[in-house]
Amino acid sequence: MADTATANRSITTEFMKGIVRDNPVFVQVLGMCPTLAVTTSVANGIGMGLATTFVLLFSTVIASMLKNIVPNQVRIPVYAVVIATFVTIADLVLKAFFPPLSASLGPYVPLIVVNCIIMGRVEAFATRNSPGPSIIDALGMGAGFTVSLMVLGAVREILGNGALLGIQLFGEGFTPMLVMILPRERSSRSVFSWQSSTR
Amino acid sequence: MRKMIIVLTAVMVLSGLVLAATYTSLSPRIEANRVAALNASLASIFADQVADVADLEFEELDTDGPTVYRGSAGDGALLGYAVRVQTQGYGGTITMLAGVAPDLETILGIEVVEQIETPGLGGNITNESFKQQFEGLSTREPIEYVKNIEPSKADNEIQAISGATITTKAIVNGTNSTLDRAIEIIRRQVQ
Amino acid sequence: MTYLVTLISAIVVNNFVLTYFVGICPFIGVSKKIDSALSMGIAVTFVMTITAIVTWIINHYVLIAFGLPFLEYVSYIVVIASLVQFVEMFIKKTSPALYKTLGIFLPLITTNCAILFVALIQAMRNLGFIESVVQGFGAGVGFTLAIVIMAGIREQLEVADIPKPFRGAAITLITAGILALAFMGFSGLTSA
Repeated sequence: MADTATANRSITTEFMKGIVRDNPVFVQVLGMCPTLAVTTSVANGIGMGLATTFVLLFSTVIASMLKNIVPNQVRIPVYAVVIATFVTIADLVLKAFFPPLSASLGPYVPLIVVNCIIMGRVEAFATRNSPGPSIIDALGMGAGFTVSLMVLGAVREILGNGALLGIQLFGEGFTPMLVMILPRERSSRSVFSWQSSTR
Repeated sequence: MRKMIIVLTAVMVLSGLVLAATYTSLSPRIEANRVAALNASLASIFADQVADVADLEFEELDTDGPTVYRGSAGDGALLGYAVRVQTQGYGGTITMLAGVAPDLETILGIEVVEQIETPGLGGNITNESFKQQFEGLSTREPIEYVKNIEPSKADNEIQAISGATITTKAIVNGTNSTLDRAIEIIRRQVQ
Repeated sequence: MTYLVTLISAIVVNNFVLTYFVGICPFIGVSKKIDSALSMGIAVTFVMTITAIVTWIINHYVLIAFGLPFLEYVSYIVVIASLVQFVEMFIKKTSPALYKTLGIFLPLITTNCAILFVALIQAMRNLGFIESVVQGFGAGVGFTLAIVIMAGIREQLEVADIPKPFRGAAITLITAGILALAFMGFSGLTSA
């Protein structure tokens, strides 16, 4: 009984550390690029956070399963290919099922490939532990990242748009601080076909 | 050494297969999304010409210049052409559609497809009041923008957005030059 | 002429670090001293220019030619990882001092969002070959500019009396924010 209690507590601790103690954004200062670029609204933050968590989860599990097979010298390229594969899958799924979110997040989705958090967790945790704990670690870090993005997104959306999740909070008199939500580069391939946009 | 190459190659081949499979299964849906978005933008240009927007049909012309779409009603009647315009605005590239009537002399209107201009200033190019100014203008002379005075439709003028002259200029210049090229191409094709 | 516009646009108007917010990790990590910042900037510019070239070739002669858009991200990252490996070996052989200064940050150029962004932009905007190279080079110069300015400020901050809650990452990020605001002044410089 005591063993299960200890095991359970340790799973919770492992998970929670990603949210508070070792929060990737606010403590480790990792994954800054998407954090600064896409948090113009809570919805964007959630979308990016979940997409990153998806990639983080599968990449760490596969890395953990491969850790004894992959020779040391090629581990970075191998894990990079694994990460890039899942990012591509996430990108395709977003384009297919959530086109407006995909257009909003734009080129920052492929940038998940080089998100320091993912390679960081793969190197620091997944390659030294078995798949089980790696899953918990990934979910914790992913949750922490998503929560951080949501918090930032909320602040920027409230101040920059007077809204939260698209719902207006203030009346007509509120002048939003536009500088908080200034738009960034968007992918210009969203509406016109790949071939025709070559002209 | 050999193990390194085997593992790396195996991973890359596996990755390629997984991605090819995912892409093949999802790309019809992605393409459908794209076509739907494109049709929605095209429809807004020709919306006034038909009773039911669902009747509209579009066909992309084969050109070696700007992208041109031919819009027709359900019964095949030609409604006009929509030309894709890309221009450098204040915040980035503006992508829009400019519609011309079948006689190639009257502008049907514009629709802004993508823009990252400043919200509240240049971003107002998506407002109906701004877009409507283009309806009925002529293609025989360049469109011009005026500030602080009433624009004269007879002189092919529109009112610039207050505080967003660069954005307005980009739209006007882009539309003028692209329409010129497109109309020439369409004329050659129709002959 | 358009190449000059592309160059200026990439350096100041659409500065990779301060406008697009890519390359933040090395921007914060290597900007403590002007010397190391400059070395990092030069290394990144070199990798970016070559990345622009190689990924353009791959994009047009492999991805588009064979209709394999889904291999884009995988191929780019493999190119970048290999390039950085070569650059690392080259620097180790030719300038061991530089190699030691850059230390761990050299292999970290692989995970520098900015490099991948160079590759992505060239595909997204469908740039021509020369324009793509100019874009890559300009992006590197812009990155170097931003990181050296930051290093200059941080060297001054080292001897300043900063209140306790602001020390470390906090004051760095605030400085970066103010720099980004300043660079907003370049907006609209290269419009139609």
